[in-house]
Amino acid sequence: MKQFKYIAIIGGIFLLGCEDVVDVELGEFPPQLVIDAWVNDMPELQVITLSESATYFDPNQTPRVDDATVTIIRDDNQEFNFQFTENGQYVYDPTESGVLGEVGNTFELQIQYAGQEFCASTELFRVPEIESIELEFRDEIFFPEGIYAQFIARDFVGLGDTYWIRTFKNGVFRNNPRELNIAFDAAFDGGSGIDGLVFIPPIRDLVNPVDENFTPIPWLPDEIIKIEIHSISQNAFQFMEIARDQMQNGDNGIFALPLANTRSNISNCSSGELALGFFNVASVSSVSRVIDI
Amino acid sequence: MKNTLFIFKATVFLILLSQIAFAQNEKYTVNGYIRDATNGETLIGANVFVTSIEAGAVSNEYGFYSISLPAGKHDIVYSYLGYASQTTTVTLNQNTTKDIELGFESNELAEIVVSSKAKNSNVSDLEMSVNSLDIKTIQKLPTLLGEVEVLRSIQLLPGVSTVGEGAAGFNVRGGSIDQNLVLLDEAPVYNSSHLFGFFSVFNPDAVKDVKLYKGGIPSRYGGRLSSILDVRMKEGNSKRLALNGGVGAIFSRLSVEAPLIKDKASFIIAGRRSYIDVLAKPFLDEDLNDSVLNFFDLTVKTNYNINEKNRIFLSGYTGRDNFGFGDQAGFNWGNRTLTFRWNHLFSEKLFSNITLFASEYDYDINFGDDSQNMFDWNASIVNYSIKPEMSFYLNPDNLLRFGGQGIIYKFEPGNAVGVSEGEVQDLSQDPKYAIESALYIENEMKIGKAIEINAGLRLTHFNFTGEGEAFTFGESPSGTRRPVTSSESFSQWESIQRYSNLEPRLSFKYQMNESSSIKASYMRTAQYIHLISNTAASTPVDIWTPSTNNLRPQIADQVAIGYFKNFNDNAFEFSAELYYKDFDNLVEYIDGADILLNEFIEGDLLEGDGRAYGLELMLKKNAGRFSGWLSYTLARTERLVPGINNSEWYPSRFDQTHNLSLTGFYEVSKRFSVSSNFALISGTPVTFATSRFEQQGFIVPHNLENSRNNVRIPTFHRLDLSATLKGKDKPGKRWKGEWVFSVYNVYSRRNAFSIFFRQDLDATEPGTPVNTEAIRLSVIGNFIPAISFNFSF
Repeated sequence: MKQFKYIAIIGGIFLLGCEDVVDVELGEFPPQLVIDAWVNDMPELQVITLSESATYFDPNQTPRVDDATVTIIRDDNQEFNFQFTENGQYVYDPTESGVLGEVGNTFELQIQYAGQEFCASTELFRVPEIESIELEFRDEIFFPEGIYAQFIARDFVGLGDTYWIRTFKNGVFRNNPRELNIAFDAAFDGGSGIDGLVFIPPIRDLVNPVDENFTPIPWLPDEIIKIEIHSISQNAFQFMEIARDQMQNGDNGIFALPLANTRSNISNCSSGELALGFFNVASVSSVSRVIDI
Repeated sequence: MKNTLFIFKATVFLILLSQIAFAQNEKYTVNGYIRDATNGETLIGANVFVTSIEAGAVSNEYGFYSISLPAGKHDIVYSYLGYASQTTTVTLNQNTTKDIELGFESNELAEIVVSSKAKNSNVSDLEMSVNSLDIKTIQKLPTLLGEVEVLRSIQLLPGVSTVGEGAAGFNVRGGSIDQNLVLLDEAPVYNSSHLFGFFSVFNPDAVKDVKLYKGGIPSRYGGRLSSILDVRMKEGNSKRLALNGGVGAIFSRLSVEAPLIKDKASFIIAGRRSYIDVLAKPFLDEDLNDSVLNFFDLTVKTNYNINEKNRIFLSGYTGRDNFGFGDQAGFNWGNRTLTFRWNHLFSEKLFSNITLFASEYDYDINFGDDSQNMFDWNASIVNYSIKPEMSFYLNPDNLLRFGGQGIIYKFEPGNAVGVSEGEVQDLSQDPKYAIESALYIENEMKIGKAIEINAGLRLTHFNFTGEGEAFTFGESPSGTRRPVTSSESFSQWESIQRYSNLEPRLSFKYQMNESSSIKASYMRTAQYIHLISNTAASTPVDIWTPSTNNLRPQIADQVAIGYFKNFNDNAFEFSAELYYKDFDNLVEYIDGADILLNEFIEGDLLEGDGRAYGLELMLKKNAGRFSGWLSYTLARTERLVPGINNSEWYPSRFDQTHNLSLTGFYEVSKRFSVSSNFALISGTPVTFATSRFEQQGFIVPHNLENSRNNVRIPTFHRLDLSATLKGKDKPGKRWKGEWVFSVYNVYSRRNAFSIFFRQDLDATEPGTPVNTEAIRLSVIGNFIPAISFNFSF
């Protein structure tokens, strides 16, 4: 529902309205297990983080979960044991028994925690190569004077490829929710029929950091931009789409979407009750470039 | 075919019923049109009262009346709100045509409404759950930025609510905004808003009369579940050239009306245009200098009295909102309607009207200025309709109406072309076609002096047809996207899915005495087209979609009872109504639904039940220098949708427990008048997250209870004032001017539209605190003063 944002921006010109911070009482709710299991096929440390949900207004890092057992099992029965290190993190080092897998492999996640067992399964999907990162000096209404990047990559032919485009600025992942950049085939969401194209311009442009008005911030010379495309499952796409829309919902003004919960693919193995968080094994393509124009 | 047989039997029954009163002496008919003496406009709902039989009639939507009387001499009193009554004596020995022109009250100021209305029509009319506002009342209300507003004025009536200030559309008795049939001269208007919802598309200079049916809707109306908003345009002054206009904060307006052939043909052209862009231009950066930002509308109508028996009308509307940012992006939307009507009198007793109309709503959005990378997207709904209607004035006790309607729809849910690096991809979705048809019959009958009944039936049929593809969807956990399992192609007009509904309608009145009555009504309504809208306030890009093989028609049943009482010689009108409404097959959405440019949208839709009930009170003072009304609604509106709110009942986004509005007008002197409006409304419900969780460095809000609309925003209240100063009135002076000073939201309350949660949106190092806060969004944050000048000639 990305489109609403543009409408809200246009509408915002007129809204004589204003926003005030108010106090809101939320009840107490028992914490729930949160599983953050976005891993990939790269020969680098793979990390799964376990934590608990917290009251919405508590600004601190949510509580970590340190006493669980975390295992991924590939469809050829190869097991990958994730060892607890610190701060809720469970790590697998691919130098032990190789990378997690290749395109087409399926995986199961098994977690034992507090006498309960949680399960999830997923598949490793294909990812297109990034042809290049292009830099351009722009001075337009939606791009204030400066250098901006775009990535050029082409979606595979065939409907239903879903991706997460991750940008790193000087080695730091941009986790600003307004920059959460996901793509269904080469465009915003499914059902449009777009397929096999070079990723469309709004997705190409979203590798530029944005400010609170959604205005892109230009890159400075000698900064380093790195872009990764992760293949994600369609359920993972829906998870991230809802997470993005909810995190950004404040931008929608009177056109706000109803509150929606993300839907996990991880559940209690016996009761079937859904946990929080997601399990995805991605294939990754990556390019980086120094800002050199 | 069972339905057809049933409607046939019912027809026979109704006709037989109406024959009961027949076996009497010889009768003759008096008929004619009732018009305004100053401009020749026909008067809708004027009263005709025959003293000898203590009964009468009411002029219809075209100002026509007909009444059958025994031979002999009769005194007939013609009266209409704000006009001097006229009494005529007729001696009947044959059928007689009597056209009447009513003039204003001699003392135009203070006694504006004193004597002339049929004194107790609030009590004596059969209609309930109906509110009429004439344009003169609407023009007196204090408004936002001084712009006279048809849609905002009806929000001051009991039973009408909105999601919040600035939201498009309105909600009637728990119905969503697409459940209102908004008619402009019989043609439906699919998006009644300018500027997202702040202003409506109706130019007050061209509007004659506004009537809202919230319940007890007669069978001649149909197609939407919750209400009919019948907006009738002026016909144009048939006596002389007249100009009306004004300069306000948002619009400047001008209308011209004049006779084409005196007393036979006339026209009106009325236009409005916003001029924010004109005023803003010098202050914009070079970048924005070629920005477009305006909205306008143009309303045209003409009519021709061919002869006593034939009259034709042609009316049209076009309006558009335009936004553009240089050549980088553009967005525009608008409605167009065209209506042709032919009134024909088959006999003194049989009045007919045939309406042909076309109506269209469309929008267009484009991004990108170079041919290598751009995106252009438009969508529309178009329909063509024919609607013959007959009114048979059998005798003073029976008015039989019957007719039908056929509508052809074409939906274009999205034509989009995307160009990425020079490669063109057509993303257009197939258009969808449908044919809706209806047959109705109703009889308005008086049984004795006290009882009046309108019994009717409406048979509706909907045919969702090709050309196009129809999809079948599989199962999924409730509340989640259903996958497409198969598709089938259909050729043009080949039926994909048919639906029929029989909609009984019944209204009943028992008049206890001159000043009090009890009324009751039942109606079933069916709705075959739906506005797909998932946001708090509806946006202009929301699309209309037909019922399909996956989306059943929405159905509602409503019962209402009411008590109506006038006192102080009809100076005060009071009404109390209780209603209960049950909805089936309401359209809802899965979490994260993709409702735009989604070919498989039906997989993202859910079906739900609804219920709404409430008490509506209205106290109105019509007479004297001080007039106005107090409206209060106590109501509840809820939804039950599998997969939402743990499949339990939850309040709808526009549920308002209490809704009170107090509207007052005071005529200080002949030249100076003031008006005020105060609203006090319970906060509408919104959904709050309960918790946050971390995922890949993001803080994701979550509602652990899976609840919907679990918290209420603070109470809404607002006071508006306005004062009108008229120019000096000199005899013979035709030029008249008036200044209107208004203040909206006098004490600058920041009423919440919603409360939403927001988090720091800067990228942060993992582990560092991320602040979250609750934000109150107020659409109007201050008091808004405005001055406008209106003139007439």
